[in-house]
Amino acid sequence: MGVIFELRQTGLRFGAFAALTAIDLKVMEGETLILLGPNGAGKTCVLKILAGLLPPSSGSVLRPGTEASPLRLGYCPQASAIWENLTITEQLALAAALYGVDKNRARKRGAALLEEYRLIGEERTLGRELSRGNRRKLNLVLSLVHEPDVLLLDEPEAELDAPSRAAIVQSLLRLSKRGTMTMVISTHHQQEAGQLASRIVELSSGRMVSCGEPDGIGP
Amino acid sequence: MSAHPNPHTPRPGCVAALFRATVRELVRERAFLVLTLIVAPLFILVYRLIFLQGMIVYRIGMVDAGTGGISALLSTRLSAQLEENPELSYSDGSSLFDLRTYPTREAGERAIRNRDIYVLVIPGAGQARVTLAGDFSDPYYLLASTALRAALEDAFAGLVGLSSPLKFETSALGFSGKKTPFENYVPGLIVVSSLAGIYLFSLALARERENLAGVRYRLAGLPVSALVAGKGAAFILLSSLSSLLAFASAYALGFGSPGGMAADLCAGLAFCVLCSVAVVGIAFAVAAFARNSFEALSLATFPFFLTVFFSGSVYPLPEFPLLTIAGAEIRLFDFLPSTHAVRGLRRTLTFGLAEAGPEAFLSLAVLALIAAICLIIGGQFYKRRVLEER
Repeated sequence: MGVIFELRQTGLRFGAFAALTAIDLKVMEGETLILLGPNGAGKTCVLKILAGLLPPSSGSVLRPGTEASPLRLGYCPQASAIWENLTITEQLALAAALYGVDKNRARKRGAALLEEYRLIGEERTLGRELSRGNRRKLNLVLSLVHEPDVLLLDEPEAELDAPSRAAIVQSLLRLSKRGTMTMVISTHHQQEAGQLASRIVELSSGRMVSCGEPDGIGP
Repeated sequence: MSAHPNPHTPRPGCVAALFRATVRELVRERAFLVLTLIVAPLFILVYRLIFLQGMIVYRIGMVDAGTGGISALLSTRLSAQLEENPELSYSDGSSLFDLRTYPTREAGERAIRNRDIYVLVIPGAGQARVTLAGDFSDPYYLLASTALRAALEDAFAGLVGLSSPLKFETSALGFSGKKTPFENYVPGLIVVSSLAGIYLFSLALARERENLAGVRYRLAGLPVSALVAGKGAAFILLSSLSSLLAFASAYALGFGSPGGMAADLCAGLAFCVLCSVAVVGIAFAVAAFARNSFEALSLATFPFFLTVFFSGSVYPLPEFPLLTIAGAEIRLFDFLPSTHAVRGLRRTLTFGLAEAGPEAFLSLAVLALIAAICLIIGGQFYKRRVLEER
């Protein structure tokens, strides 16, 4: 297994506030890495740094992709990043076009994802008309439409009721079992972390507290 | 190791996909879409109602001290002059002037203060002097007194049987003498159809940022040029539709111009399209500084009013020369795209494309330059503040 990302002594500051301090972390190809911690622990900051949305204030971030063959990255932010005035089908077509996925491939991929995430029948529904659960699902589906090598998920089950949360976890488990995709998922639900993780990294107040197999973490 | 996880790779269908998606999004913003489309036709309709009589009749007064006096004779001669001179009448033959008489200067001045008349003609006691009195702050005074002067010279010369060594004649350039006030305002109001997009386009861009959908452009490593091209093309399409509606309303309400409808439409669309390119740039700049829809609408107010009012779109304003560069006069509001759109379109629709050609093309060229600058600046602001947001 190769290294997908490597953070070396990575820190992040917002003015005087240290959001992350000296994080050393390797993300291995094909694994499902869980970032576990309470609100404000720094999980989202780590994901944003990995996604390239935030530059670290100190240390370095290494990504092994090349210009010729870049890593295809999927990022699913905590708040639903969807187009309010487009239907689900239109959103899938646009997201695929942004990544240069050809139309036929995008159509097939979109249909498969809609079926897998039980969004069949909602294809013509506008983003603003979707239920909260379906918005979260669409948020995830839009991150998957271009078949990314790495999927970064920021609390994908946040604000969902128990059945919807379970459905999301099941879908992530299916993705994880295929073993073709590297996933980094942030959550503060220990039980779900245990179900999904190859490894769990515990964060607290911007520092890495522990890193290890699911069994070795927790109370 | 790469610096960015999703470096840009060529995506041929991406601009077209953005265009299609943006058109759909705009169509679904129904309230704002309708407002954007109808604002210029509505302005045109309101101006038509304001000038319902079709033409302004300049009401002028004359002090007539008594029958048989010079005043009475002058009044009769002047009245005949005003009716006979074709340069002082509208295309339907009706006179520009409505001549009234007042027994005393005081009565005439009272009429000026009440806005019953714009100019008061006061024959001098010595017969060789005529005073024109009026409210200098009233723009109609200047228009009426200028047009009146030649007629007054002729009337006076005919009355006393002497020809003045200096003869004043009034000559209207192109078709300007045949234009009704409503028609004079139409070019500016048509440009408003392009400017109305500032609100809708800023809102559409800010809403994407607010809903985090814009994050997907960043993650895909989408270049700002593709975003501006795809979204901008959709905005310009809508803007052109709005301009066509404005033209249609103007013609339906009696607008006519020397070049004929097809030529006017081509010239008008050229100015409007370039103006909407500038508007797209302005909208991207507004969206770059607005974190949500409310901020976008608040911020968009500033460029909207600046471009509408200081370009003379809805009301003609004096042009303040600032400096002269290589013989070309630079005026205070020349930095606004709408200034050149209004100026060029007004010239074209007043004098005809053949007569206004070189100056209209100059306005078009300057407008194209300003539009390109707006687009580049707006795109760069958006890139730095949204696509590369930290």
